[in-house]
Amino acid sequence: MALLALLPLVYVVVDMVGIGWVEARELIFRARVGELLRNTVALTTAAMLTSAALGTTLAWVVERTTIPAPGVWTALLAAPLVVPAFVTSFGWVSLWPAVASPWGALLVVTLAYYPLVFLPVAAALRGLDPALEETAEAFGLSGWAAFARVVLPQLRPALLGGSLLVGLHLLSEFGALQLLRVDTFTTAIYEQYTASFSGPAASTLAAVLLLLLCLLLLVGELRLRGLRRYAKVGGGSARRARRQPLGLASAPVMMALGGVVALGLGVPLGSIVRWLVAGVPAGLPWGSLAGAATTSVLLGAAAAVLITALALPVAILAVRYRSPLTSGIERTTYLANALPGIVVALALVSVSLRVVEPLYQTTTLLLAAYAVLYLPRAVVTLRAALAQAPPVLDDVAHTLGAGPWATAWRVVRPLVAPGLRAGAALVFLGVVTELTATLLLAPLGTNTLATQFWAESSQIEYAAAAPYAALMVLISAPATFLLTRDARRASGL
Amino acid sequence: MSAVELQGIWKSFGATQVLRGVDLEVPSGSLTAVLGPSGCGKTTLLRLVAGFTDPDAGTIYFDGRPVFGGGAAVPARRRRVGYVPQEGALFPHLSIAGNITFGLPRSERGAGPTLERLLDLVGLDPETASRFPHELSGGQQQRAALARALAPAPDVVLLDEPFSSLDAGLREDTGRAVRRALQASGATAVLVTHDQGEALSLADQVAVMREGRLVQVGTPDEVYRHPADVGVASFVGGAVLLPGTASGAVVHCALGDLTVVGEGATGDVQVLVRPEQLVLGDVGFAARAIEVNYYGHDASVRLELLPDGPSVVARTSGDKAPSPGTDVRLSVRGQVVVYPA
Repeated sequence: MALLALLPLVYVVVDMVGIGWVEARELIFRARVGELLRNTVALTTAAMLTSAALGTTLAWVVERTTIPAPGVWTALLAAPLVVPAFVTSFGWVSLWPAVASPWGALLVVTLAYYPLVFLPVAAALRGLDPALEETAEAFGLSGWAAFARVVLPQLRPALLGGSLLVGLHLLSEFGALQLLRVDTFTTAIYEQYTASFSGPAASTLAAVLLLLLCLLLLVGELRLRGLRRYAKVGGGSARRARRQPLGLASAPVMMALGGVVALGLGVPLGSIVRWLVAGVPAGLPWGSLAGAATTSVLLGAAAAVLITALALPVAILAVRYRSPLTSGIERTTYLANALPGIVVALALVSVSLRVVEPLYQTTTLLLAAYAVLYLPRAVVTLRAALAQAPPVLDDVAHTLGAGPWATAWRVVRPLVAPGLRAGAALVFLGVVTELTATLLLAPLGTNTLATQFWAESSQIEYAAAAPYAALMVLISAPATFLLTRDARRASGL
Repeated sequence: MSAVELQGIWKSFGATQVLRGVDLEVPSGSLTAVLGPSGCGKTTLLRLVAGFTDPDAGTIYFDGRPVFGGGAAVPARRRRVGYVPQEGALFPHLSIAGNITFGLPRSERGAGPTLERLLDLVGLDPETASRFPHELSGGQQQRAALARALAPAPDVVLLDEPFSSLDAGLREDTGRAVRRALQASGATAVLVTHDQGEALSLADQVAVMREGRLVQVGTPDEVYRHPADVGVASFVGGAVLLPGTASGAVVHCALGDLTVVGEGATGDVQVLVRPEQLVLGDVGFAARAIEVNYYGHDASVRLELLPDGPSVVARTSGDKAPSPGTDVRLSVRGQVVVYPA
């Protein structure tokens, strides 16, 4: 698995060596690359900041004020995750073409990605011991000062982690930015590849992108690592924090939250409905819809089973048999988490063409790409689940006469099952809404909801694209809802 | 016959020598407490007896038959030991009934007379059976963990700091319940703890451990009243240590001439006086109360012998505690123990 995850890196290096230094330098030091670099860095940085600000503010309002029905707001504010970013973009662009600009793009991607900050920060706020804030207030700090000096520092791991995710998503985002007419490395790589099938040119761009990613990851991980000691010490406190009374501000605050939900969830969904209504008179393409839906679900299910099965040994090694080698294997699979779908896809195309040609244009290759892309998600959830089954439980089971198999079946399996299900659901969700790698790798004639949607919407056939988007959201909504509910419960205990 | 016997047990983890030649006999049906500060190797000792890890050298016998060493290596699941880990470690996905009957044959699992008997044995309310571990208090979890360990009627029950996570009041109650249940089941028990009060009040035999060795094994009374050395003396209870000169059965020190337990010694010695042996009253040496910790039922008083004598700590009943700054008179009740200086 670790080797598969490293494949894209190897591919980029091999290709670069193949072109030679002089040509590579010419390809990299061009005005075009400089422009892409500016675009990519500016948009990524700006969106990380706006998502962090919006996500943290919303989390604080929901968790720490007397806003009515905080549970409903949490669900609504997390809901934009149900809608893939390229569908959100479609919603905006198809209603209001002027949004296709750098500032419009910042607005749209913020609305699509702020939940990645909102969810972890809300969970961290919920888990925070109120005694710390009370101690700060006992020192005479005002509520705001206590928040800034005591609460905010403790939120940093969640805040940075969430922002890092936003950054990684944006660096690899293709569909949304293409629709919004913002050129970044990812969209440029796609164009280079599809326009000219120019592998070397595409891969030099990919190399720069990878370098950016590595930097972002490195900085992000260092920042997070240094903050681990913020973890709570001592037994858990069952107390909940006091909520700030909103009083008369209740109505305007609720209107503001309502506004965020309307923009982030209402606009894309409303837009889909609008184009559905517009398209229905002409008749829906039932056959093609059903075909694409079946393909999406089957691919999602196959990937979920395959990837969960692959993730299990990695997670077991990482949790139960800790050693430099096993954590190395685990780290490598995480690295793939940061790899853009487009780089993974290019690497697999190139490798299959050169080394295992019979695999080119096959479902196997597509599943391999999904495995590289989504293995980390499965490993992370399985890891957390395995941590629920500490070795002392095995010891107890052994003294009660249970052998290794009986222990695995009666103790470990029931404890890990929820994590297995969650991991499988995450992979399924990812695959059903995956666009970039599927576009490049799906065999001819294999159309998923995402690729069909893309084919129609890039022809500006909005009405024809809408039904595919609607089905995608319908298929992924239940799984997303269950996952965020589990996450809320787990951190709410 | 001893239910468990350890002979010459050595164990190291990497470069750290954890156990250095431990010998211990645990009489059948008794409760033996292994008492020692954290990191002394006592938990490792317990894990070796359970069979979770193997010693580097030495032999472990159950009922006279080797389970490790001498060619034998019986795995944990065939040793018929009950194990009560720290904080209970109940299976979080099973109800209390499911937990307690985990080790029973399939036909006896779940609700039934066996479960009722076990719940009763450890003093748990029958209605807790359907609840899940996280819904129980720490004390109830410990009782359930003990019931689970006792369910398959093991010959030996091992308890690893079972009460350390409980608060003081609960600890005593749970301790008594555990002792009663162990006695009723007739099992031999080994309890590991760093709390001397727990060891002295619950155990029939106390084994004091220090840096991987057992430094004294005896009844709670022996260990408290005749500690093997000064270290054991201060570990198992409050200790006032004074320099003195012994000659036979009498030792001379700052508190006068005191009678020595046993053979006695000659020359320079250290004299061990327990705080409760110091009597505050109208006779004896003049002393000034410096500091008083009042607990209600009793009080501990730090005193300075006048005019410039050493300071000592006395334990007295609460109603007799002097106020700080008052002058009192101090005498010693009973015999004292001396150690070579």
